[in-house]
Formats: sequence, C-alpha cells, structure tokens
Amino acid sequence: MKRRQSLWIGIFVVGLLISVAWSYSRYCRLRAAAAAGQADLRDCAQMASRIEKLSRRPTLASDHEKLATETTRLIEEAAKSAGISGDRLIRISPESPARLGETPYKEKPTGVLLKNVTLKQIVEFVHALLSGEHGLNAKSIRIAAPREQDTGEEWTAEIVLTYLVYDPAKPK
Amino acid sequence: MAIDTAAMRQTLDRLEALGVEVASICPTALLALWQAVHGRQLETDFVMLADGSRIETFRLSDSQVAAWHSTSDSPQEIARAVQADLLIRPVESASPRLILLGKLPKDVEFRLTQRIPLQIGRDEEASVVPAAAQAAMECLRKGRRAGWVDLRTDALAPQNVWKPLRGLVRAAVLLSISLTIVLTAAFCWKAWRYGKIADVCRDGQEAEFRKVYPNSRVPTNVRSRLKSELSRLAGLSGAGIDVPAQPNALENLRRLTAELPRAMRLRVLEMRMGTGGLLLEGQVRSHGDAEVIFQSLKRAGFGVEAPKTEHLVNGGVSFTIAGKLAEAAREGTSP
Repeated sequence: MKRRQSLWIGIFVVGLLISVAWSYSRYCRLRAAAAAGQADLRDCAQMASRIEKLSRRPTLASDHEKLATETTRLIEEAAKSAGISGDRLIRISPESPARLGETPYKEKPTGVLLKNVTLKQIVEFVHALLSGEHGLNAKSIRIAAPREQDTGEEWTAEIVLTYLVYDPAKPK
Repeated sequence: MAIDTAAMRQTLDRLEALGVEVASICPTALLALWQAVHGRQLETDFVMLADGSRIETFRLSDSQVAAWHSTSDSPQEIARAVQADLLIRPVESASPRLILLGKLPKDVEFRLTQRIPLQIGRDEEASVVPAAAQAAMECLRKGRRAGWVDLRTDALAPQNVWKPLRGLVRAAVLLSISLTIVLTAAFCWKAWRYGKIADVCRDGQEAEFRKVYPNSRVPTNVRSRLKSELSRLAGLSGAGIDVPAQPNALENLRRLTAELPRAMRLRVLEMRMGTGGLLLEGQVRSHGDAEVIFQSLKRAGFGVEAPKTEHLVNGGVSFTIAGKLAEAAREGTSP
C-alpha cells in the first residue's frame, strides 16, 4: 500500500516537473518567435517600402535572357522604322551571354549586319533600338564604305547590340 | 541511568501508530528536579521528591545530579540509600542537608532523622512533583531544554527522523507543488501571449507582402521572399550595385563625326567604335590634312595616336587613325 502510494506520488512529481519543463520550453520558444516576428515585421515593412520605390524606377537589366525572337523582332521593327528594307538587314547573330567581371550581370550581345544603308538610316536604326525601354545598348559600331563599287552614300554597318541580364552567380 | 528499551519501544510504536509524536523521553522525577534546581543555587547535598509511595532521592554536586536513588517510602530503605551515598561521597558537615519536595509522611520523616542526622528543609518556591513535571513538558514542547537526560536516543530514537518535521515538510511540499502549478500556468499564459504577438506579426508580414504583390500567393516565409525580391529589383534597377558603365557606341560615333573638319575634303572608308577603341580610315588630299584630323580628335579628348598615312597612286593620301576612348569621349556612356 505504501509502495503504491510512493509510486503515485513519484509519478505525480515527475509529471509536474515535466509539465513545468514543457511549459517553460514552449514559453521560451514562443518568446523567441514573437521577438523574431517583430523584427521580421519591421524588416518586411522596410523592404516593402523599398520594393515599391524600386518598382517605379526604370530597369537597367533584364531578369531573364530574352528570347532570340524577341530581340529579332525589336531589330526588325527598328529597321522598319528607319526605312531599311528587309533585304538590307543581312544578318542577326545572337551570341552567348558573358559575365561582366565580378558583377551579378551578364552581357548578352547580338550582332547585326546591314548593307547598303545610309548613315541616316544607321543612326535612326540604332537610336530606335536604344530609345526603347528594352535596355538595349550599342556596344560597338563599325561602318564601312563598300570598296569594290562606289555606292555613293550607302554603307555597310556592323552593330553589336547588348543588354544586361541580372543573373547573380550561385554561391559555391 | 538505564531503562528496559524493548518494553519502551513497544510503547513508542503503539503511540506512533496512534499518531502521537514522542519528542523525548525523560523520567518524571528528573523533569521535576530540573524545574526545582535549574537556574538556582541550592545550598543542599540531597533533594528528595516525595510523590506517593515512591521516594526519589538525588545527590547533588554543584547543582548537578551526582546520584539518583529510587526507593519506597520505607525510612530504613531511604536511610540505607543516603548512607551508602555518603560513604561514596562524604559531606564536610556532620549533618548532610536535604531539601524535601512534595509531602513525606511525618512518621517517615521522623524515623529517617532518627537514623541519619539530616538537616531537612522545604523549598516553598518549588512546585509539587506533577506540576513541575508538567511545566518541564511545556518547555520540551516549546523546544527548550527541560532536563539533563533524554532517553529518546539509540534504540529509542525516532525511526523517521523527519517525522517531527512532518508538518513543515508537508507545508513545504504543498508550497512546492503550488508553486510548480503556478509556474506552469504562468509559463503557459505568457507563451499564449507571445504566440498571439507572433500571429499578429505574421499577419502584418502578409499584409506588407500583399501591399506590394496583391495578386501573388503569400509565401510561407514572407521575409525571405521579400528579401529576394528586393535583391532582384535592386539588381534590375542597379540600385546600390556598382554597375559597369556601358559605352554607347552611337554617341561616341556622333562625337567623332562632329569633330571631323567641315571644310576639308575627306572620304571616310571605315569608322569603328567600340569598347576596344576607335578606328578611322579614310582618304584626304595630303598628309597634313590627316594631321589636322588627328589634332582635332585629340583636342576633343579621344586618345588617338598619330595617323598612319600613305600616298595613293591615283592621287591623295590614305590615312588610318586608331586610339582609345579617352575620358572625355567616355562621357557618351550609359550606366
């Protein structure tokens, strides 16, 4: 009888201690969660505010590599607006993107070859591409007069257009 | 002093079984004597406690009990005990002094003094035996000392040393249990409060997310998602990132052509403008004209080198000017 009583008392005491330990650990866990939640809420409010501001800013780079067809379409539209007929837009050659130094950006080049176009058409063509909100840039321009035959004001132009792709390097 | 512990043990066990706590075991005579002599300087050799038919005679030495003789009320027996004690511990005076507590029959007292020349005195201040023992017990109950001897030791010692403190232990245990329950309740309540705060913060985070992305599903980890979105947007807009300058070849081409002398007869065969630098090939009338173009470009800030010229068979001079885009020319860059 006495042993059974001692056993029940022991179970009761152990149960009490377990309940205190459990409630204390829960209290500590939720206190940390509340503190972290408050800090996270402050951070989230600040980040949301900055995101709103940044969303209104013009983009400098694309967040993905544009499809070749998209770039080609832009080039064709620019050529059309510059009065360059399709047979003078000789070549469009997308190249592989290359990382710009240690930056999180990659540069995606696309070569364009125009033949028998005037200087005015070249300038309008490039300007049309650069003035749009596509983030395109003329990295290099080579303008050459055909030597074999004198075509007056008509030139051959090799233009390398580029745009930036935001692509941070994956941590190793 | 010795007692029969086996018999006393049985008595103790019975008392304890009935829930009686025995704090100490003291002979009644010793308790009464303690009450009579404690804290007093009695000028006596013997103290006699007369309580009914039993006579307790104590030999004192410096107010301490030196011997205890328990006898019947027979004068001969009492006298033998006193005489035996005097043989062991003789007194200086011819007639030993004795203080009587309680009531000794007159004839016993007379016959005793006939046998031994005792100076018998009576302590008027001392209580009678039962009352003195009762007073001594009260002292014991209050935790004070009430005698020279406590037989509640060794074989008669309490089997459970905590038993006398049972009340205190019980109170402490109850207090501990109450405290534990209160603590558990307090932790649970505080945890519930913190849980509510965490919920409110989570709702706040979701509201912040919906504010900027109203049509998107709220992710599990809002902070992480907003952080990655912020990082992405900062990257796309170039905010806070050192974006390398992108040379605008069209602008540099415009600058180059603007610097070519208007009045000079000049035929351009090739113009190249890019990150590698610039190249201008053409034909002019003379070597000097090529030099003029070179100087003009140099003044404009292009880092050009001196022109290479070559006289043509059919007249005129071909020239090549190459160089780098100097700082002034780099103004035509886009971030």
